[in-house]
Amino acid sequence: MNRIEKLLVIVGRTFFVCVCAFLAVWILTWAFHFATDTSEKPPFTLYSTGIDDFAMFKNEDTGKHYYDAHANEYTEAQFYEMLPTFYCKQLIVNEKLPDTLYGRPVSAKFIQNENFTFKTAPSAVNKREIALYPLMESMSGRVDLEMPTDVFRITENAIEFVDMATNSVDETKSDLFTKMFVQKGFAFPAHIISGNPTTKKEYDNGYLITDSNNKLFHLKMQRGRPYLRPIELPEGIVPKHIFVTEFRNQRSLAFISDTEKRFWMLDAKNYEFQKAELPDFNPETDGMMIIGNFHDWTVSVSSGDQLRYFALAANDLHCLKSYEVPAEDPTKLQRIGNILIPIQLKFLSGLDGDVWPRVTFFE
Amino acid sequence: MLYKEWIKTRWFYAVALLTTFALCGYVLLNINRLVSLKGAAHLWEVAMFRDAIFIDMLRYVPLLVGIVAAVVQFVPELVHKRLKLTMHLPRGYVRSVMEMLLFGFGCLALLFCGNLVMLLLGLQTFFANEIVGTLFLLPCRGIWQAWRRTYLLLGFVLNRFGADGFSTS
Repeated sequence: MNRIEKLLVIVGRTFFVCVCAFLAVWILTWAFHFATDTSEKPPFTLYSTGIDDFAMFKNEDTGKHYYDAHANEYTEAQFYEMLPTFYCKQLIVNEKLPDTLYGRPVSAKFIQNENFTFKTAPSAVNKREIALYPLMESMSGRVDLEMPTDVFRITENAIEFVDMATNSVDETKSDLFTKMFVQKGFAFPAHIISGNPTTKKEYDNGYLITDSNNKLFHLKMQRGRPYLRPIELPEGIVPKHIFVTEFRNQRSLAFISDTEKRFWMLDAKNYEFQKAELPDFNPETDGMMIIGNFHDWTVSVSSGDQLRYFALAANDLHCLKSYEVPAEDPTKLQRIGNILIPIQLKFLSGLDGDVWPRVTFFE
Repeated sequence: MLYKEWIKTRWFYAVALLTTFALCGYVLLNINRLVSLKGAAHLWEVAMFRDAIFIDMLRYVPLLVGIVAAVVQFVPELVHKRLKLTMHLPRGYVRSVMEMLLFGFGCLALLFCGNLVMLLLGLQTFFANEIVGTLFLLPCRGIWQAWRRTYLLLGFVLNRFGADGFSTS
């Protein structure tokens, strides 16, 4: 064998050993963590104005367990009454729904109309989306929403509607909408396009779009005609992620997180921004769930292993109370394992849908 | 050497060409059937919002064709001990093996490029470029991302070891 051949053999063997080591680290660490994982599902937690604390519910082997953040125990009936807006239907059945809540006369219809749930997860935010969007008819006059037969894309200098049956651009409709965009001062191309392209919602509020200058616009289609309204952004707000809400109460148009990691509610009636009193929130790495009613919102923010709850006043979104779920200490076996193999190799992550090697070093 | 390989594997590649093109044709006909049954809008919707890629039945075809190609190209050499003869030619045996491998790689690359062109042209009649691009470019982008991040990770590890080296010395 000459020198080059010897070198090739060495390179080949080294490559083989590296691949084997790589696979061993991957499989061994996965198997170890799978076998020693003791993490539990966090309890269902909601802020209760009645006790001014976070009420929690856990389904354990010994039965259902109702308690609060200060470890006070409650019965099932007490728990329902502590959270009258969430358990509204149950209280109607039990004939325990009060006429007045938090100093305001209420009905079951009013409570249910005001209740909403919002959820965002990094996996959904970081997911690569296909840049085609169906624009529904917002004023169809019908009860049920219908998916359109075309989708739109925003190019470098126009908005184009593509007919799905023929896979061709509808020039007339595209021109009509592009003219409106130009007339309203939209600077092509779009930066963020956000909407809820589903018929499983109460009504359609179209899309919120930012242009190349980060100006915000509200796009809808009303009786086949374009509706595009520029929305004035308060000084210093540059939207990074937009979530169009379309809740039943029609109070908010969208939740917006900006480049400063602040969280805002965009009012549907006057297009004004209301800041939520929350710590830094980055939808690309943090998950959020809001369970809201007419009086308060319970916001859970999860980032990595950290889980925090915040109670916000529904009227001005100031923080009423906060609670951080204590982090679980690793077990003895996990500690020993982390010392023996201080590295973990994974190919998947809850943060995105990509497949690539991700290495974690344990301290 | 290349001519010898061609003589040995030409029937296999002819069959592989016909089979893979027939499979691509079947996938496209299946999409056409779905369009006429459920409407193009439904297919666009599931592609856009439910990550349907329609060509997933072709997932293992390259792997299977590759394995069979390897068997067809190398098993006769081993069974008839021709590889030993090749090793005794007045040229480096690594070079001979490399040429054989390159021949197989080149033929398979040509075959799959043909399949890719056929699928691209076929899918473009049903879907917008954004959807077709996602079907094909997403895996490519994934590979690129994986490479870029592995490279960065390697840099991070080397830096880490480098820093440790400096601190201990």
